[in-house]
Amino acid sequence: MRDLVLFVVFIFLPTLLVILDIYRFMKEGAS
Amino acid sequence: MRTMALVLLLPGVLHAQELHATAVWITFAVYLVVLMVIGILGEIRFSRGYEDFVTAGKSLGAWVTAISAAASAESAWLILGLSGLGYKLGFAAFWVALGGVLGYWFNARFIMLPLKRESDHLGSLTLSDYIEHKLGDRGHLLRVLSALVITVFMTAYVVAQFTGAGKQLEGMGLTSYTTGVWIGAVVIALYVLMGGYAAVSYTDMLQGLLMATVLVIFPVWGMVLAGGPGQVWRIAESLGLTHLWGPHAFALGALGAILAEALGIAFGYPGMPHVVIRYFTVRNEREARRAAWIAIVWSVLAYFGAVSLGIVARVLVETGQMPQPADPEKALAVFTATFLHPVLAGVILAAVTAAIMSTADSQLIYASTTLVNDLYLAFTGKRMASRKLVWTTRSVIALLAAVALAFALMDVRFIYRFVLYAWSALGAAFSPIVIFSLYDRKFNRFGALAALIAGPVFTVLWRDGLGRPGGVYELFVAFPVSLILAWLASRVFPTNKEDAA
Repeated sequence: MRDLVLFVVFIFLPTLLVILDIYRFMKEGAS
Repeated sequence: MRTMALVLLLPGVLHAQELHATAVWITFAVYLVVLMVIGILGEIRFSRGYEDFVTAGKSLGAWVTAISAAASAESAWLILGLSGLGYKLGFAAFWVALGGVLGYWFNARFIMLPLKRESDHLGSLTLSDYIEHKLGDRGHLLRVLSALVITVFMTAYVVAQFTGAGKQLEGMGLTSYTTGVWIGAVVIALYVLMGGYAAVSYTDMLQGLLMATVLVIFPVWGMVLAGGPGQVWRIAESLGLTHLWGPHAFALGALGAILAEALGIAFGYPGMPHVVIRYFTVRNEREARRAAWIAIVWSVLAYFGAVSLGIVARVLVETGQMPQPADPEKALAVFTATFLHPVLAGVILAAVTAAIMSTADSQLIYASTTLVNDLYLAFTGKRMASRKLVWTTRSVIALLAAVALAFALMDVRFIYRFVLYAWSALGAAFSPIVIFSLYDRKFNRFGALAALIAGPVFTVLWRDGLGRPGGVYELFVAFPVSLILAWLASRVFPTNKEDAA
């Protein structure tokens, strides 16, 4: 369980933030 | 990137003795025919004028821009090396995946669009063009030095790619080494000669899509075979593979070296000439932003897929469903040989081999364009008809391919030293220049000169002079040193603003 939490905090969430940031970046250009 | 170092160390990674050789040959031949068709289409559409031939008329769309850039940068290291790291380290290998994704994010967010705008504004066709125009270097020193660095390291890379093709085809039990080198070199040279940059970009897109498909489907399928995600987690946990800091016996220092390598790889992206040239050639800003999105999704799928594939393969070995690979980097090959029908296995093996081969195309076209555009035309001051320039570039492509073929056939060991340095030397030389030229108003030609010299010198010094202390990857050291020296040199030797473009 501890390993899963660490994975989510240190790997999954930063990756998700990166994806969302680039998605917003793309949408800015479309508008 | 370090693909060739890996491939050269692992001759015969994809042993196909248990596979049906005819099926492999047929699928491989189909792949090669597709590459040639793309070459012919490129010839029809993009070989009338010089700009069309070397930049596809700066008209590429988001998909081809994003995925061809990614495929040129990654190639087989991602499929074989990173899945091997997942097999060996488990979840700790996700740090490398995150490092890779952050590299893509940085390029997509901060480099792609401004570089596109600047290169359009300055009318640059290559990175050396851009550096000279942007920094107002009328003496051509930066052009010569950057073109030399690019030509030396990229030609060496092409030699190693041809060698890799020979060793792979030999390792798959399909041909002798010599025949394998000939097949790789002739096919690549033909479609680059015919279709130029457009053919290179579209074949790389095909390769990138294949890589991502394999790296998404295989881990999912492996998980199903192993009994579902819950079962995979339980077994991986019992093996100590779910620790983010590495398996039980894994030292923290070694993890530090891996993190340094992950970041080191990421530092190379903004300045890799054959990758950032894709930002020059994207059709418009809207397509560039879409390309940023496609590239980031591709990188997440490919990087996380590769690590997951390694972990799942390790679990399948533990459950006795798959034989243990002799080397972690052979995990994919053993998975393929164990679970795939020979015909389908042939597709995968041929695709991986083609992936190794076709990284050479981007470097071949880029090195040739650099020789013609950045050295020959700049120094002779000649004005040639556009059509004649296409044929001059084609002659140089043929010449470089022949030189690389000769070196590969002779198996000249000396060349491989340049390959081991290539990603780091190119990254440390050009990344600081690209970043500062876009974001530091005081950056000038002295700063660029410092980076061009410091990048390759510190790469060699760290690797050979100091023997790579702590196993830390050279770009992790060479990049910050080059960055600091470039920044300092611009301030110690300031130039008038009017000098710059």
